[in-house]
Amino acid sequence: MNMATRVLAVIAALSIAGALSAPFKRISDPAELREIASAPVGGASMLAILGGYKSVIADFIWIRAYCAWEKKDSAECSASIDLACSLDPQMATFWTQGARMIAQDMPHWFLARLPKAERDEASLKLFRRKQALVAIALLDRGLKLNPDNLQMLIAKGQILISVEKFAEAEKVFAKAKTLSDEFYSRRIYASLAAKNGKFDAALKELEKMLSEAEADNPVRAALTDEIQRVNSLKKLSEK
Amino acid sequence: MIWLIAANTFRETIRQRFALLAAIVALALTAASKYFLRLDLGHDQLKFVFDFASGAMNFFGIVIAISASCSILAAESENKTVITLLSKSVNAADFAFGKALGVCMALAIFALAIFAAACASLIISKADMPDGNPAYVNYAGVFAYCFVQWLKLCMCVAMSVAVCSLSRSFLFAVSVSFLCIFCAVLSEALTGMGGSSWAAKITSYALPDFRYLESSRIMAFAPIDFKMLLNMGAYSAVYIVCALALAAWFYSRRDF
Repeated sequence: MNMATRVLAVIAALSIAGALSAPFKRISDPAELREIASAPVGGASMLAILGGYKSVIADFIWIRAYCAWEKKDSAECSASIDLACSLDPQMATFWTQGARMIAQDMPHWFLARLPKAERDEASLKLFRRKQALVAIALLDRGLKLNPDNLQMLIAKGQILISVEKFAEAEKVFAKAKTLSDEFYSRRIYASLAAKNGKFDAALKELEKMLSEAEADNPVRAALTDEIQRVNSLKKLSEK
Repeated sequence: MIWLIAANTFRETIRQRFALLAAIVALALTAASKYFLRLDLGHDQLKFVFDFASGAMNFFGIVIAISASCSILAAESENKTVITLLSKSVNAADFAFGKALGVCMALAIFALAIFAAACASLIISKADMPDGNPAYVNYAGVFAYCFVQWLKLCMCVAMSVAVCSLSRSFLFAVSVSFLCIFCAVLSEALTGMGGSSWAAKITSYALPDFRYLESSRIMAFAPIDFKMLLNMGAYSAVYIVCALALAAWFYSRRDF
């Protein structure tokens, strides 16, 4: 039997197997698997795809991200964050902490690399905006897999606030407040709604919170002050 | 005749030192998974423990499946015993299917041992959890996962037997078998990244998709999806039969 016959036989057998097995291949929820498959094909990810141990490998890669963070090595840090998130997409901490490192720490590293004369507030703002986009893209990937994750929504909202994208942040906190009754996301939502000129929505949320807060809850005073502030803003805007 | 060959191969496989050592390491890692929880950075504890069983099953299972089947078949070729076997009333199909069945039987014991170790680790970890923790483990689902992974290992065995039917040395057979597994994994990774090259598409179509079988892990923490299980069984069976039929065909036409 010559080589050509052998190669053709292998190709034919694999093609037949592929065609016969295709009807049985029904992945119910392939999103997470696709996320794992999209991990950079390095030694660790190969081992993880091939042989499990995903959680522990993701932990080690996360530690590597921290080491890179300590050295302010943005390339290594970003790559490690990306890999850890891809290997263990259910771990919300990787997505949220990673996004915060990218959005809040890396702009300062980039600024420090500039010549002294160019290190000003405008450059920092530019880096912040650029990195915020990267961080939000990372969080969006995580939210695609975990759409109801409160931690990720809050992290995304906070990053949007840091770059003054208040309208988008309001939408994120509007979703976050539906996932939890905690006051934190509801207060921020109300504050953002007021900032975006939606005074009635802000007042409605604040008054609802006030009615739910127990009599001895220290947050009542802050809520009352906030209601007054929003009311005065509303009056000012009406004038 | 298949059963006779399978029983003999099974005995040979469980006597292999390397396979035994790999199995012991896999079992030790699975049993000690609770100890490794101290390395955890905040995962769901039970999923972290289960991940060790999954890792042992996949990584060590594939190593055992390939090394055992290659060494047994390469030894038959190198010692020329295959000539004696195939010249008697043993046909090539009996030989290929029997050899694969023997290794698969040994791997079934390995899978059962990992299942037992995983269940023990999960029970101990669950017992240590604070009361009122809503963690849920479906032990029948863990068994179903182990069964699907065993099918995956059987696919690896069938692929190795097909490679061995073409090769004359152990080293070549092992290298090419591992290369086939890596190609399957790489092609899936490439298509997952949106790779659109025809080579990646053809490879991912023709080679078995291990990611698909990996999705059975959800059954460990959720009710068993029997339809999914049947689909996976049929998917694996197609590849196993095709690879072994190919191996039988090669053996029947091979000049030793």
